[in-house]
Amino acid sequence: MCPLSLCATGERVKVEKIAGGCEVRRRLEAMGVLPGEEVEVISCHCGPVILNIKGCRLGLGCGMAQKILVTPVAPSR
Amino acid sequence: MKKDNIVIALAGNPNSGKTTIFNALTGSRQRVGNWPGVTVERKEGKTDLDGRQVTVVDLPGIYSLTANSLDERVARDFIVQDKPCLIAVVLDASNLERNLYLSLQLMELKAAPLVLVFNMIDEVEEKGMSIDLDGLSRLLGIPIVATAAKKNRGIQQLKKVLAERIGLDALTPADIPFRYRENTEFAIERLSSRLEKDPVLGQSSPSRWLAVKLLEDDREYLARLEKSPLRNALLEDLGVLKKELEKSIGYDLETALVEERYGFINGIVKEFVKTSWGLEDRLSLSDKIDKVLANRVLGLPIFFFLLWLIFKLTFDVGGFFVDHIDRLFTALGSQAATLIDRLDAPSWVASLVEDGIIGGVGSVLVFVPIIFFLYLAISLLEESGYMARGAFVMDKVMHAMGLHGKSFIPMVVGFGCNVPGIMAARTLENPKDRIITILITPLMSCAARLPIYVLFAGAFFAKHQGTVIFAIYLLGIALAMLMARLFKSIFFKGEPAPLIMELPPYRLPSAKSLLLSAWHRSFIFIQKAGTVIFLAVVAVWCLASLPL
Repeated sequence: MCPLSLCATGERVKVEKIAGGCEVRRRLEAMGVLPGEEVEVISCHCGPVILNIKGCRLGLGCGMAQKILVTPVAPSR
Repeated sequence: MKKDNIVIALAGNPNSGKTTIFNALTGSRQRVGNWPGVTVERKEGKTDLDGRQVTVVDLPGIYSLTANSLDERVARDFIVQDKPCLIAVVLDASNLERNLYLSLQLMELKAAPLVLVFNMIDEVEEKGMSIDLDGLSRLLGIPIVATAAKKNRGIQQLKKVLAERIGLDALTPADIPFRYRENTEFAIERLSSRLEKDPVLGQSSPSRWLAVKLLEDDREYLARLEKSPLRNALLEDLGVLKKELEKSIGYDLETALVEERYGFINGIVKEFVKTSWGLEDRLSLSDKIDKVLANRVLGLPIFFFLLWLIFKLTFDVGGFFVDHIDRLFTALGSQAATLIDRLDAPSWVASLVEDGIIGGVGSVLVFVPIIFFLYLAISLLEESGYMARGAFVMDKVMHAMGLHGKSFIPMVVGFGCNVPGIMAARTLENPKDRIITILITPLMSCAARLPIYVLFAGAFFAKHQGTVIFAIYLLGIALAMLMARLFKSIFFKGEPAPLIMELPPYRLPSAKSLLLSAWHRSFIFIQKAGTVIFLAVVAVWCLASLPL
């Protein structure tokens, strides 16, 4: 398990845990970032991260990306 | 709201094309933006449905009914308290999974009968996807209309369906096909039967919805619970039920509820949407553009270059028209003066008309081209989708000043006019970030200040006009940053909220909507020039010319 901010561009990962206040968690959850959800890292520069979640692009700031813990998944296609 | 007034609310995610649907329905022209939360204020319009006058209210774009941000609260309060007759939920049909979440919550809320508008259906077709609209509509018990609002497709059908649904009971359909897992349902049942007996809460919203919201720890509903006479018993019940449920689920209940909703939606999408893998073309193009525009190294220089380009174009192109308009007003003034002279009117009348009214109002109106081009550029940034990227690449810089990446949007809009800039600050979720942004946005030099800058720069620094004006703008920005730091360290201590922002796919905005939006905003300036400035000019002329 590692923070999303450390992932490489193009990696597919599974969200394990969202550490952070309940405000932030709620917002992420409403947009579909839930534990167990698989996401694709479109771009990551140890800071702002762009995610592909359910076909949408979501931009996350540095601090946010550090609070989302993920595990890598083997590519399915 | 009056009882005989038929109100239809338009709800939907940001970037689902809600405003375009609104324009197509009401014929009124608002600005259509492409960054999340462009709906700066509540917009209303009239439309004719089957011979009946109907008011359409465009709600701010929201992702859920959780009331996290001000936008969500505004939308939720309107739906719950103002009780529209009908809610049309606008969805980006090419992205149903995320968009259906809000629809499902609205179905649970049962505040009004719903109509689902599957917008951007043309993009679905282009992608080679197909949606079984009839099947889905039958399952949900809600009519679904497919539209492509930009191409004006499906609007007549939408009007027809809306007209049919007016006057239906809020509880249509009485039952929705969605159920939580057994334990959760049990808890909801028990809590809602308690709530029904409550004299205060029972009246306000359907008790099932209330129960769900209370189990979700919704702060607003918990606060309402505080006012209930049965408060203590209810709170105790809630505590016990929550604890039991969380024990059986193994983690946070709120997350579990969201998960179950998404699970249901996932099932729907699997059953009713056929996709082929060419699906992500539009997005992958956006991704390629983002590789450059949202790049860690290139992102910021490109961003500043674009800002510089906007100012350069605004002043060069706008300046060309300014000279012509200036000449026009001078000619108009002397013509009018000659005419008045011929009528044997006293000379002060001619002076009032030439120097006072025409000269005064003219000196303000000459700046309309510059303002128009500035607004045109801002609209282009919004509608193309770059504005969201700007917030994204600026996040680190803004963070260093104690601001949020999104604070940057109100600041850029503030260059056009501070009022919509301040209104745009509503999309910031954290109240501290919002207040700081509102406090510093007026330091952005708005378009109306430009005439004064030009005048001063011309009078004192004739040789370096452009540079001086640019420097005044920079000074404003620097001052804003300084004040932000100051406010942050004195009044609003603590970290700014982390940035979470949808990056909409890049879209080519239509020239028509860009021009309309720029015109709409410039027109407000012209209106002011025609009224307030006109009176002020006459007053100044009186003080300067009359022997008082």
